[in-house]
Amino acid sequence: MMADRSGPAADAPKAGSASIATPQSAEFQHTNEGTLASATVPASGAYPGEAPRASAVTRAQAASEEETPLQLFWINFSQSWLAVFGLAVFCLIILAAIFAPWLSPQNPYDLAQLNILDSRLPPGSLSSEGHVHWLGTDDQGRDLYSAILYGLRISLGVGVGSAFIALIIGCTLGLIAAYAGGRTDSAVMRIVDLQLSFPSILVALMILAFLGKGVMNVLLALVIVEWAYYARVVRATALVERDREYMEAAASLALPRWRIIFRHLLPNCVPPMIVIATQQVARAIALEATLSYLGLGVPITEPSLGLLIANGYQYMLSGRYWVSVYPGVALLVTIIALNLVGDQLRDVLNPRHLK
Amino acid sequence: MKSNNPSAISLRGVSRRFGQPANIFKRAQRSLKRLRGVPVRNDVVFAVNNVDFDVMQGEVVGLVGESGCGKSTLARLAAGILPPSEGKVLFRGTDLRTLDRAEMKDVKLKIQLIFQNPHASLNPRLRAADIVGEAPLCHGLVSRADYESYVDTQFLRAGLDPKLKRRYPHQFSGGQRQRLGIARALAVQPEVLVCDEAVAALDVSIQAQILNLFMELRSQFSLTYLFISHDLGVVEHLADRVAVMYLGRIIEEAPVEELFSRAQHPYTQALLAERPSIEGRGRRFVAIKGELPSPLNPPTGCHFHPRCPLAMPRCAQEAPQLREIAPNHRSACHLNDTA
Amino acid sequence: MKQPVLEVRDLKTHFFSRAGVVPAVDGVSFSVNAGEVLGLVGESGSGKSVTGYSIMGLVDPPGRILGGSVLFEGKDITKLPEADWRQLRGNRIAMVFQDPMMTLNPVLRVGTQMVETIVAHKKMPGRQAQQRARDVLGMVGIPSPEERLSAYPHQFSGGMRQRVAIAIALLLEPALIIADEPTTALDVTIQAQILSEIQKLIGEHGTSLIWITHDLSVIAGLAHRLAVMYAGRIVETGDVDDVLRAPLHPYTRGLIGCVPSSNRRGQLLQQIPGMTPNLLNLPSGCAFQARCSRADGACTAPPPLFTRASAGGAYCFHPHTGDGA
Repeated sequence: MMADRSGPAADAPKAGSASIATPQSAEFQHTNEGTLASATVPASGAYPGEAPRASAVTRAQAASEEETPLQLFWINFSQSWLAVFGLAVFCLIILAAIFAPWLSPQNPYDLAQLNILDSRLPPGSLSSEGHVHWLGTDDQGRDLYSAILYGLRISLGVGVGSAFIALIIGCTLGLIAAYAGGRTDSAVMRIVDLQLSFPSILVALMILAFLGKGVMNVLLALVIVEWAYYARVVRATALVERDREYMEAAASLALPRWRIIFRHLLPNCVPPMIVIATQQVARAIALEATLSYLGLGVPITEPSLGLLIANGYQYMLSGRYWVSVYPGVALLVTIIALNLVGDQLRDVLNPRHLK
Repeated sequence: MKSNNPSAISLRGVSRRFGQPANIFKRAQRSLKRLRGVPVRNDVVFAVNNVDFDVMQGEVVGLVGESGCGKSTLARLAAGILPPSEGKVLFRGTDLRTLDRAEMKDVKLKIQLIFQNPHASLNPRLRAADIVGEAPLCHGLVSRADYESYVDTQFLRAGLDPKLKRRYPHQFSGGQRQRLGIARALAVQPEVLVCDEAVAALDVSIQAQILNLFMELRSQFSLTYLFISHDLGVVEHLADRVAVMYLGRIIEEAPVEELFSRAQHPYTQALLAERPSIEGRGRRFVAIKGELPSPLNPPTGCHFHPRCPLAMPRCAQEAPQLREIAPNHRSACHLNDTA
Repeated sequence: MKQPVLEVRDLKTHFFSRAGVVPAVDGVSFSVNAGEVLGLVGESGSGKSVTGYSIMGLVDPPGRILGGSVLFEGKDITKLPEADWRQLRGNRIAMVFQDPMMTLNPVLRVGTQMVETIVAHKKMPGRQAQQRARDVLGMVGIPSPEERLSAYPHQFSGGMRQRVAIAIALLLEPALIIADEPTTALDVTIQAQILSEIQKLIGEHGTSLIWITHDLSVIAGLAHRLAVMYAGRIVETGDVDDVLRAPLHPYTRGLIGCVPSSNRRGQLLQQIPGMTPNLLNLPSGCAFQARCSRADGACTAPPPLFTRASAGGAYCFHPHTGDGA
């Protein structure tokens, strides 16, 4: 019958000793690819064999051999030059905000440095102290270039800060809801639903009307508005991850519960969180600008970008466009750069692309 | 060889339901529907239904069944990571429910699961060494000083090169990943391995390597196995005793030679007749009729009766009990009474 | 002798990835005669599925068919324009996938999809097409086909869905069906049902079939001829009896030894050491040399064809011949 049964059978299993890992991808998993294709874009004809295609090597799979997850992530991220550009711009903006005191000719928050005689100077004018106002001045005589740099500090600080705090609160609650399930889950998620059913601007306005102006109050308001987004997304991801086999393995290894949540569950929920965080930072910056524009945000003596725009608004029609437009451009560039990064992150970290 | 060995894992009248027991509104809604004669769908699934089952120490028990028959649920019940809805699970004669936390932890470690999907069963964010070494370190089975060499030993036991331990799971091939899962299980010094379709996702040549590894480990560490598979060939190759499941019930159980030569239950007979094999060249495939019924709405009486070629009226009314029909050979079929 | 339905000559399909060129199919030649069942066997990464996709003209970038020809009924179809391809696909050549949802549109009724397929290829009045669709559904063993025509794909079970996919493949009575692991995801009893239907239908209609699988035991009962693939190349061909009883190539032999079977219970399986090869980094010559017990220095050159007396042969320097050892 089947002849020789001795021979190579004696060789011990030593698969591991071969040094190069084979990319399991060699079969290219067209099944997955094709299923997606046919599910999302129903082919109208539905001829046999029309929908699926051997579209093969996904970006990640081809390279999944020797790279750490971080390297792989960067390779995929850098596929879009627009996103890399966005990231570069955003880094520049952050640097500008951090080094604002050294980059700007005057401290716009120091009322002693402001000269009312210099108010509403057009871009390029010389001030009474002899330096050039490259972007002009506003009605208080603030150098707009300096005001924008300092305004960025507030906008970014409030945006990033609120997003970070909201992320920690939202993630913790979302994870606990997903892992505990049952009543805890229902309780947390009903609060989230309640929170999300109100327009965020309305909630923020209410909170600020109650608490009053101030940077810290704006931050608090933004955190209250934002945490629910994180909680919802993290819970959804965690629910999927919770049922994966590696979680069962962790249970079977009798690991402590906190360890399972924070070492096994949490790291696998990080990718969508990064995506949401980038988008939420952009949202928070815009929301802060809106609140300040409406006069409920930061105090008038320490204008953020939104307040600068509001201050210049009344001069728009009298031809003194610069007071509003330059802070507006700064806000726009920041938010667009963030969104470019966020879009690409969403594509790269999408679980459909990962596995 | 259902030997005189003491039992490692025993299931006594174990059932496991999934789905919420209906709340008061749902129940009211249902009785209204019933009153109006609208059919009511049962939304509670009995994944495992009143199962008595033993795994003796040192034994390899094969559990065979098709998708949805509850064999994966049974694996998790036996491993102690899923509590039964009814009945009790015993490890070496002790009811798991009577154990306190520390004891339960020890029992869990003694029974380790090997999973089907080598991609999903490893945490993608941990390095191979952490995957294997986390639990022993956490439970104090190894000191920090001996950690590295301990992990190396586990790698070697599973046939992996310790040089690979800094890698992440995605940098391994399918077979290597399965070995990593085995190394993780061995690292906590288990006595029982519950393998849930552990070779189903692997290529044929890799499958053979892993099966051989299981057999070597068995003799090396005198392990007990509960080996769950849909592949009769694999089970026949490995197991001492085989149980067959159909829709949440065990319908036949016998030593491997007995089962493969003298299967009594019509379902087991059909499974054996229909399994493809290399020897069966140019054969005509004869198929058993009908589909797998939904576990949501299983047939009355014997679950198999709608597909059974030998079904009698009684089969639709009364569920047959699992009874011993020959030494160590148990079967649940009404034909046993008539014969 | 008749002209074969399909003749593949030196087919090369490579994928151009960032990490390098992946020779998924690298010089594959075989032919399929009318009414014949060819089993294309291989493990993951052997290129068996890509071969199927290449024949169907379903290779998208970064993959490309680099060379060779696929002669279907005497015509080279690799260079056909897309429009002609659409006419051929589903009409004369059809494919059945492992996941039937790849052929089925989830938002259309099964009947609608079937009728559309017929009307797209044949001038046929709607009622007649409907009739044909019903007949074919009945043919693949779907109970009460009239009612099932108006059902959506999700209302079928896995096995039934695969039957519908097979029915769609059979609709226009193609000369060739390529089946890519169609029963792998199914249960044993359901797999047996599908196999028995396929066996019956192929016999009745004289359709040729290429059955792509990793499972030797499934194909043993169904195929007339086997082609064993490894790392993008065919390593052995021949009649199913010859290949399974007296495999020439060490890989085929190893593959057969890997399958657990009743007469070796409890013993160690004969295993092939090592891993499936990395296609980015193949050795020169025989791709199997690193895992082969018979390999020596000669194997770094392209292996010659060792022909079997009856039919087919193996590409190997050291085939298992005659010694039966």
